[in-house]
Amino acid sequence: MATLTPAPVRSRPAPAAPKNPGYPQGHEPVHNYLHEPGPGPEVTGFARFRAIAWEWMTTVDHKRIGLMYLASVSLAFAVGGFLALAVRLELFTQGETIMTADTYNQVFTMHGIVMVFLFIVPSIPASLGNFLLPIMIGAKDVAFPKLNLASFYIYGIGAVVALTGLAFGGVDTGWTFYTPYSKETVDGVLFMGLGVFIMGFSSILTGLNFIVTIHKMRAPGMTWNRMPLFLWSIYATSIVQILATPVIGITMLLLFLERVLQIGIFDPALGGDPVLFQHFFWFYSHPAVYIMILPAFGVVSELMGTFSRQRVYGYRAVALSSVAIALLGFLVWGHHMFTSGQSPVSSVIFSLITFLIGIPSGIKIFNWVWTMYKGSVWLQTPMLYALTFLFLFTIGGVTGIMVGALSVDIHLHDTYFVVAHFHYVMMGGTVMAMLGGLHYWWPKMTGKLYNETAGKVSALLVFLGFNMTFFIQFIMGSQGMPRRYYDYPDMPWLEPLHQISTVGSWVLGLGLMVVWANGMWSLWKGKPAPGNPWGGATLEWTAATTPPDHHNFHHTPLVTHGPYDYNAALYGASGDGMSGDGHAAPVPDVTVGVAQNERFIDDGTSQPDSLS
Amino acid sequence: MANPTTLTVDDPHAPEAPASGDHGHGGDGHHGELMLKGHDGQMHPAHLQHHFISAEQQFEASKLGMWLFLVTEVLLFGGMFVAYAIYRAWYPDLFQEASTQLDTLLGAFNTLVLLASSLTVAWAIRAAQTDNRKLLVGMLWLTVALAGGFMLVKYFEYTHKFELGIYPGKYFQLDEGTPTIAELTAGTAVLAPAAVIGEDGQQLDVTEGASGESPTGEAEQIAPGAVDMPEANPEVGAERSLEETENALAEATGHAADGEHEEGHGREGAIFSNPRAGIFFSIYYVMTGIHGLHIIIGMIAMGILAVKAQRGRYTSVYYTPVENVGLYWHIVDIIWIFLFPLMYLI
Repeated sequence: MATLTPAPVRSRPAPAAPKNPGYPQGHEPVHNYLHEPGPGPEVTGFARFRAIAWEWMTTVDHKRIGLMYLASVSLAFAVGGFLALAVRLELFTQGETIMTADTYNQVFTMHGIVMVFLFIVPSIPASLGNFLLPIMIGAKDVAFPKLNLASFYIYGIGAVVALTGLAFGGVDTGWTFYTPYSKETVDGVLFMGLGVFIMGFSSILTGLNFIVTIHKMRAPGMTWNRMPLFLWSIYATSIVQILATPVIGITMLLLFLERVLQIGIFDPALGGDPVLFQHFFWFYSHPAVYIMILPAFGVVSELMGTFSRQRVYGYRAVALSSVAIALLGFLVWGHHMFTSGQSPVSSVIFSLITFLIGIPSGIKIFNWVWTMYKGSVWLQTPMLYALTFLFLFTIGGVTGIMVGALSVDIHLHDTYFVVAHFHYVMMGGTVMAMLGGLHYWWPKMTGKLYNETAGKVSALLVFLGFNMTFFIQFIMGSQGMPRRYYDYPDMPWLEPLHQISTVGSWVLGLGLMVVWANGMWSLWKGKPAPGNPWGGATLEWTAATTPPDHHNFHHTPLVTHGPYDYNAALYGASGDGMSGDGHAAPVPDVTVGVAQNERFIDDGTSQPDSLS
Repeated sequence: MANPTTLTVDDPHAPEAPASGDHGHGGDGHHGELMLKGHDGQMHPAHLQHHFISAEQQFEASKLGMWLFLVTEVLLFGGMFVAYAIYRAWYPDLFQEASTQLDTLLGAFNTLVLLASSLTVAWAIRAAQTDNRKLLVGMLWLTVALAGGFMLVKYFEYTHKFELGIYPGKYFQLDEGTPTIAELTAGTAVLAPAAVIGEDGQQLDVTEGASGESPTGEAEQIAPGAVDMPEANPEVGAERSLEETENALAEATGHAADGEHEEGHGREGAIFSNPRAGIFFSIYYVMTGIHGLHIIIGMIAMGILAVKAQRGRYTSVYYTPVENVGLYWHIVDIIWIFLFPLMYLI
């Protein structure tokens, strides 16, 4: 069991400066973005609170904006989660359990809208992406910091406008707003559609900001092939955000005008075509599922590398497969419409391209598995979530191929099989990766260590609860349980299965509560985190303090190695181990948290392929 | 040095430079550019934001951001162009009839106005690059004026249409007695000889030209079915059957194309007895409306630029906003270049 002691024999002598000379003056960990800029010590009491609140609300610091996004999407996730629990509870018994059929329609619609537009689309890119992207490329901030803050507020305004719809009768269309029903039902649709339109701008501006930042703001030495895979996935995501989101914008605008001015584009009674709405909608919403999942791929790549102490296998293949998925994702929207009256030829083509998407996804899965092979897998909480991701996403992906097959889809369309499939991908994929990423970067973001045991318990509960909730839904779906139905009077044999699923949702909810409590506990009583508790090799670990400076770095770092060259990053085999100003990088200090130090295992120095 | 914030780095060409440089190339403190001291103790150009390393980086980032924004604009309008293309393919006659209602002369005039404004905005950028402040401000205001002229013409076009009862969608005022599609599908209106009510009273069946296999459907769904799946439907006459149906509909209602409007206030043409007329004008109003909105946004942006330029905010070392608004203005022009022939000419 090796510890993080520098290996004695190196081709180059170790730099003369001591490995851990402390931090440059004014850049000690106490001077971090959480406190600075802030009011001076002379401001006290309520005035202090007000000054701090104002500082945060008007900040253009990408790290603070990332944290504000994190709080917002967590809130949205909690709201959507409780709605999901309500949906599951209603299905616990046949007939009315806790709500009427009308309420049920509204609850599952709100669950979908909140989870898709308020939570999962902005989840990883806007929170973790905002926080990490500039640090990972060695920049002080994103290219357009004010725009970044603006997109946060646009997101907030969009959310408020959407929720205003609740006061106008709510929405019962499902999150897809299919016409002509969405044209005829209550007026809440107006506000929901407008809210989605506004939130789309937020998504576009975030993506635009990220692309420009990645293109123009990389630190010296940060070549495209030295970018962490998380950045590649964020880059691919941003492409999709920019190219797809305007289409949902115009779609929602047309739906809005359709309701207000009766323009008739989607209304068959005026000569329009309701299926055109489906085409428009899925032209955004299918690429949007890649907005949701691609950042998760990036997070998992980081976790796999760091916790296997090994370079991510097939770096370029993993990086480019993200871009390939982003581009192919634009050509498959028709697979949502196999039963909507689409020509057989286009159905066949859409089905074929859907299968093709399996290839880059498969490349990623295989490469992650290969990364672990002969690595020193360190089963900390983030890695447990990454492994959960690997397991659940594979099931979700393979069942996706199943429903992408034409004949199978006719049978499974609009059943619980589809519900289970996309929950395996979205929750089993994105949410698991986000939880893993949150645990991984939590010490960097907050400067506090969470409780490892509680983290592991939560990972176990989430894994068990998730599978209990959703695996059974594959079975229910293949037996014919339709999605969005309030009741199942003709299928009484499904009742026990529904009950298992509902109980599973409680276990899942409990697991997520443990995650939440663990985080809150760590803020309150957690141990201070060391600079690099996991021995990561990307810039946020090797060149920034914990928590990072207001300006991220004392000086722009000079990048001399790839993102997964752990030896080079930590011991200076090829790099100089220095930040740009000649101070040693505040890196491999793992002395805080003794238990971790003891448990810290093989650093990979004995592996021939981990040295470049 | 006269100005304490002016820094001249050992540059032989930097004498007591005027407040705004004459032939500067950006961001190096030469040519009397205004410099400020950053938190790292070094001097930076005043317009350089702290998170950029150089003025070039800032300029390039801004410009790339603008280009990406323009991509989203193209996709936004792309959705509407798709809607246009689809309905044009379904109802070619309708689109031909309806476009005759648009005033080609005014449209062409507006096209020229916009093209001229593209010239003036490009000229403004050039003026900024050559530090010609007077020309810059003049050209910006001229662009605003041309855009205003465009909107004025648009206003007269719209009001004229409203007078004639040409509204989008449901509110399009058909000639007296013309049945709407809703009435036709509900079976409450008199039907054309080419079509009969299905047995349940809810369906229209096309008796001539429709293929035996094609399911009977509502009137408006015959067209999508026929055009959407040409491979699946070998019946070549399917598309024509739609036209025949439409013609028959018009005839059956007893409204010939002309002769009905003696008052002669402009409601001429078969379009006023076409129950689907609202579709074309929906697309027309939505597309030109959103385009007009972009013009207004551009006018506001250009007005702000002009005021700031008047105050000497833009010089040859810093004119990024002028460049970006210019780019935006060109995309607005280009969209009109596509709108004009699609709506007015064909």
